[in-house]
Parts: sequence; C-alpha cells; structure tokens
Amino acid sequence: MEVPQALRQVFDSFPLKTYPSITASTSSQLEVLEARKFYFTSSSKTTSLAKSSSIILGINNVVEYRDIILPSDPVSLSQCLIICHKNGLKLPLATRKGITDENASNCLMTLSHQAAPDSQLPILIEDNKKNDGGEPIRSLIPSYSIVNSNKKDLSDSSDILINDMMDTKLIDLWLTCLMVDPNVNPPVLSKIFTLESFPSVTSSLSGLYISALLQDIPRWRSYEIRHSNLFRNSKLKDTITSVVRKSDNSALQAFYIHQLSEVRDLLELISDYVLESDCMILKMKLTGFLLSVDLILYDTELGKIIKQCSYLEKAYSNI
Amino acid sequence: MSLDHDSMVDRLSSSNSPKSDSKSRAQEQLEKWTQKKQELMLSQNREYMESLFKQNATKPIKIGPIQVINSQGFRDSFIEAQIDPLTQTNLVTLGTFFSKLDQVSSNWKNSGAVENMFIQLQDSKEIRRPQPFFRSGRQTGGDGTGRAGSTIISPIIHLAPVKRFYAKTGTNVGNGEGDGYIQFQLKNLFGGAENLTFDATTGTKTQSSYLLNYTQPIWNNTNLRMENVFYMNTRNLDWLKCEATVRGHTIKVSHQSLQNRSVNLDFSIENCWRTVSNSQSRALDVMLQSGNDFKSSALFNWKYDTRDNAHLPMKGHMVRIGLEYSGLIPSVSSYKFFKSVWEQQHSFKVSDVHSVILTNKAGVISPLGGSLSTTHILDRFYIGGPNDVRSFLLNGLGPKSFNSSIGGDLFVNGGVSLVSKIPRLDPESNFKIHNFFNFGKLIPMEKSDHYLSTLKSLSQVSASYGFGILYNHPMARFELNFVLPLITHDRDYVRKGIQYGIGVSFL
Repeated sequence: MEVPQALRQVFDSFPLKTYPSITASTSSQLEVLEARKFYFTSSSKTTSLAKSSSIILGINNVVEYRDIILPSDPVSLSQCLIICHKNGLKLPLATRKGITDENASNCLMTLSHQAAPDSQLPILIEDNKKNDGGEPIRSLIPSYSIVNSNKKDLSDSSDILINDMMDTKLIDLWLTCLMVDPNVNPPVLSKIFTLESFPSVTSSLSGLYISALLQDIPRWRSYEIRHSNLFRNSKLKDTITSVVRKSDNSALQAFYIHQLSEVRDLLELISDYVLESDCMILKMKLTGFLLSVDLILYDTELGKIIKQCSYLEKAYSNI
Repeated sequence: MSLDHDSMVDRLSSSNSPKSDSKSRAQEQLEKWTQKKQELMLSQNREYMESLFKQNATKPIKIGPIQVINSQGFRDSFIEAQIDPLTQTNLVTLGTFFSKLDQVSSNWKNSGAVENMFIQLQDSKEIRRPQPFFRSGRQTGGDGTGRAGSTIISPIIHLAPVKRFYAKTGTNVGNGEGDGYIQFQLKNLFGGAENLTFDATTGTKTQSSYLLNYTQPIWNNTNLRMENVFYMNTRNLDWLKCEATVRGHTIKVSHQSLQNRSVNLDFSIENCWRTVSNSQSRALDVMLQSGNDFKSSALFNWKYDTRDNAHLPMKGHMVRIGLEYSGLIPSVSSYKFFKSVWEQQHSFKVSDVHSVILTNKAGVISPLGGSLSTTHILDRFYIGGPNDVRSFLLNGLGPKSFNSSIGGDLFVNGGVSLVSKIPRLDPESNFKIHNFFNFGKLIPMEKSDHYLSTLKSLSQVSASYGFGILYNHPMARFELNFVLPLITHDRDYVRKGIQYGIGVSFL
C-alpha cells in the first residue's frame, strides 16, 4: 500500500529545525591529542602526498636518537621509514622544529595496541578531506595490510623471499624476545609500549597491565597460530604463567634459544643481500629491525647478537 | 522449579467445565454483588477496628513475653535487634504499641530474610505455657493485668523464612541478541540476613559478566546495609564502536531513614581496572583512550522517592542527587574528575483518566588536574534512546566523531508525558496510552569558558514528540511509540516513525 503523498510530505518535513552539529572536542582534549603526536618534517622531495589527504601512523611508543624521534618497535619503525621514503618526508624531530603547514597533518601518534581493531600496531590512519570542509573520510589500515602492501613494490623473487624472511623470522624472534628474555623487564617494556601514559606504571598495578600486554603479544602477527605447539598449556596455566612472568615457559624458552642460534647466520645472509640490492623496502625493514633492537633491547641476548651485525652501522646512517 | 498445582487444577477444571463458560448474566451479577458485599464488610470491619484503636489510643498496655516462631535460622543477637522496639520498655500506650509493632514488622521485611510474616497478639491470660524467648523489662502480675490496671499483651511473631539456597538458569533470545545466565543465591548465611549472590552471564551484547555480591546489615540494623560486589564484565559499546572490560570491587553502605521511608542515601567506594579495546571506531578520542586505566572513586547518592510506582508513577515525587569523586588513590588513578547528577520526577493526576509525569535530569563532569586533563569516554554522559530522549537512537545525541558517539561533559534532558487510561478498557488495566514531549542536549565542556556561555550553549536543545501505547509490567515497562523529531542537531542519530522501549526508568 502506497503512503499518500500529502502524508509523506508531512512526515518528511520532520525535523522542523536542524542546528549545526555539536563540537566534538574541547581545547584540553586537543592538547592531549597533540601531546601524543610527532609531526614529520618536510624535505625538498615532499611532493607525493596530496594536500587534501593526511596520514597518521599509530605506533606503540617513540624513542629519541640524536634529536630524531623513532618508533620503538621494529615493524612501526620499518613502516615509518618506508612512508618517509615514499613520500619524501623526514623523521620527526624532538625539538618539533621544521613543521610547516604542508606537513602539519602527517605525523606519528603513540597509542595503546588496543586502539587498533586487531590489537596490533602500527595502524595507518588516512584522512581524505572533503571539499565542503566537513568531517574528512577516514580509513584505518591495519598492521597486516600495511606490511602486505610493501610486497607490491617488490618484483624480484629473491627480494620477496628476503622480505618474507624479515617479516616472519626476524619479527617472530623479536616477539619471542619480549615474551622470554629475562632482561625484558617492566622498564624496558614501558620504553616500547605507551605504559608511561598511565600514572601507575611505577606502582604495583603496572604488573597487571604488563601481564595483560604479555597475554596479547602471542596473538600479534598470528604468532600463536603459527607456533601453536608452543602454546599447548591450558588457558588457566597461561594466565598464571603470564602473571608470574616467564617463569616456566620452557617451550618458548627453548624456541628462543633455537631462534638465537639461527639468527646470526640469517642476519649475515640478509645483510649481504641488502647491501648488494638496491631495494629500498628491504633496506628500511632491516634498518628498522636492527635499530629498534639496538636502541631498546640492547641488554637482551638478541641485542648482543645485533651488536655484531655488519649492517648495524649502515642502518644508523640510513636514518 | 515449583508448580502451583492448585491453580493449575483450577485452570484445567475451569477450562473444561461447560457450566463455567455458560454462566448466565444473572449469576455473574450475583457473584459481583457478593464480592462487593464482602469488600464492604471488610472495610467496615477495618474502620470499626481503627476507630476502636483511636478511641483507646492512650490506654496503657504492658508488653508481655514476646515469642518469635520459626526463628531457628536466625542468630539471637539479630532477633533481639529486630524486636528491640518492643523490648525497650514494657509500659506503653496502645498507639505507641502499634507503632512499635509496625517498626518490628518493617525491620523483618527490610531484612529480606523472611518471605512473609504476621504478628499475633495474645492476652497474657490466654497463654497456657508461656515460652518467652525475650522478656520485656519488668515482670507483670500473673492475673493478666499490670499493677496499674493495664492490659498485658504478648506479641507472637510468626516468620516464614526465605529459601536459603536458590539457583536459576536460563536464556534470553530476541531482537537479534541472545544471552544465557546462571544465578546462585545463598540467603541468611550466618543467621543475620547475610546474602551471597553469584551471577554469570554470557551473550552477544554482554560478552561475559561475572558478579559476586555479598550483603549484610550493619550492626544487625536492617535499615543500614553493606554491600560488597566483585565483578568482571565485557560489553560491546555499539555507540562507541568499542569493547570495554571492567574488573573491580565496590563497597557500598546504604541507609533508609527510619522516620521517613521515602529517603534513601548510599555511599560507595569503587575501585576498578578498565580496558577499552577498539573494535571499529575511527574516532581519535576512542583510539587515544583505548588501553588500560584504573579508576578509584567515591560515590554518594541521596534519593527522595514518594512515587506510587517507579516504572510508571501516577502520583508522587522523586528527587535524586548523585556525586562522584574519582581520584581517591592519586598514584594509580588515570582520570581524576568530579561528577554530579541531578534527577527529578513529579507525577500527578489531572483527572480520573489522565495523569502527567514531568521528568528532568542534568549532570556535569569536570576533570581535575592540569590543562592536559580530560574525561574518559567511559565516564562521560550519554543521552538519547527509547528510554531517554525518544525519537533518537540509543546515545544518539551529543558530540560525534567519525560516527562514534563520544559522549559529553554536561547534559540536560527532560520530558512531559500525559498518560491516559484506554477507553472501554478496565480502568485498572496496565495498558495505557501516552503522549510525550522530550528534549535534551549534551555538550563537551570547555574549561576556559565562562559558565554563562556554557549554560547558553545548552539552550538549543534537540526535541521530539510522540504518542504510543505502554504496558506497565511489575518487572519493567514496555512501550510502542510513534515518534517524530522536532528539533535536531546535525549528526544526531534520529529515529522517525515506530520506536519501542523496554526498561525500568523512562523520561
């Protein structure tokens, strides 16, 4: 049955009055937001990004190296370097100098890993501004999509193989190191993740937060699924183990030792290949991995091996 | 599970009996008149007794030995405290005696440990074998009268204690949502109306919820109760497009005034660890506040309530003031704030058919601390929805960021409802029709703004009108309305046409 036209018109005339939308943020909320942002600086090559769009790379935390702000984890650092390379941007400066109107919307932002729908960072937040000045169209690109998008720029099969080795073997090793290495203590974890934003990081509650974080880490990059043999314990035992932290996870520890025994040769292989290759993606990925371990996890078993890597010096020069 | 056998048999017999179906009009009329006659007799009896008591209100009464029947499940100290009004003195006037009986009755009912009770009064002479558990102050003469010629009355309190253990399990399905629950209750644990409840729920909206609640009267005073709640729950917050897990403990002391039963106040301390996980939100507010935080707060509530029915009041008033201070343990509190809420509802009859309900709510949350202080998305206010400002979706009013309702710091809302009896329907029917006008506004509060400009920004409210049918069930109120938004703001989530609501509290 069709609704009579007159009735439809009356119905459609509601609401009778519409006011503009209510402001979403207050100045203090914006200040809190700004305190978490680290803007990229521009270089002469800054041309790629359209003025109508902006990018925010959501990362776990930042670490300062010679006045340069770097993401604290290897995946975020690698992707940050790749984004900078592709778009002609420079890494953010601790002094917050060099920010111009053109790049004032492209930045790094520290977030909790729970800010990402798949609970892993980095996350790329892309805003495409509308012509009418309204709320931009925002898209969230999750971590796995960012990492997978790198493959599009690789054509050589050897490059793809090396890229996969870095994405799986090296990142798995970093994750195992976080879960198992005895020198990864709360102060180290608070450098990698944004635990500093909580006033309680120094209190006994930090243990609760860290135990929750350690329960999430195995889910990142499908680590738990790919190494299901390491996680056969019951959920209850897992929880207890994570609360008392790495006390009796013998399978993971054995796996860590095994990974460490392989990594020296693996790094030499990758370093040699990257040195000879002109592929920027591989160079940035290796740089990101080496720097994040060397700057934060230097006391760990993995950090000691990285110190001896031939590419480490080159990695520092890459930034 | 219990089956009410008698009523079932009655139903079966009445449905099978052809006689009952073919009751003549005269028989029905006769039954009606008989019922009316009985009611009249009862009311006459009551009036006679009341006038008798009034006439003898000053007559001296001596309280004899008090017996409490079926009291095996209670501690002596607890029983003593409940009957204390009767044992304070043994010589009273009849009027005072009855008010003391009321107090005793109210004490037992408030405890929640008795399902039913009644008090039998006996002249002392009638007691053949007195078994006094508790004897009032002075001994009396054995002839049934006091030395001053007063009548001796011995109250016998008959208790029907509640079931000590109770378990319930079930499922709820509907509206594309479903959940299953299990509940255990242990009542009167230590003989002093101490209750322990465990609830576990899992479903689509509330992914999981576990609650352990221990309540007990303080100093055996059933008007003063302490509640200890341990809880852990994970909920999907659709309006924020995120998931929140809260684990914590709340200790609450509530008091109901002995003189004025309409006044309630409670004080609670809440400590909880909250985790917000982003599901689909693209709002930076949600992303920024995702993660863990710890909340430690003190809450105070004062409520005056004289309404005849909390779900659908026809007469009476309700005023509530709620205050919350968060940041009790400064070293662990992530977000410090002060929050206050005001709520009032007034209902009155305008004729035999119509009654009016006026409702108004307002609240403000103010972050404490430096310039970098802000409020947490789980602490902010949210308004709009079928139980709130109708004609808007749930939490559909106020600030939005990329389609997430991120809540506000200051709100005002209210409504006027005209509730009417449905013509040709039994006047006592729980079905009613109602017309309503609702309004509300929710805004973020700028610290630097003058309060006058803040109040001014509250002036342009969203508003709606509607009418519908409602059913007032003892457990909840059901509404089916036709709603129209009159005034809106851009990005308000509007509902136009049919909207239904189920709940215990409405605007």
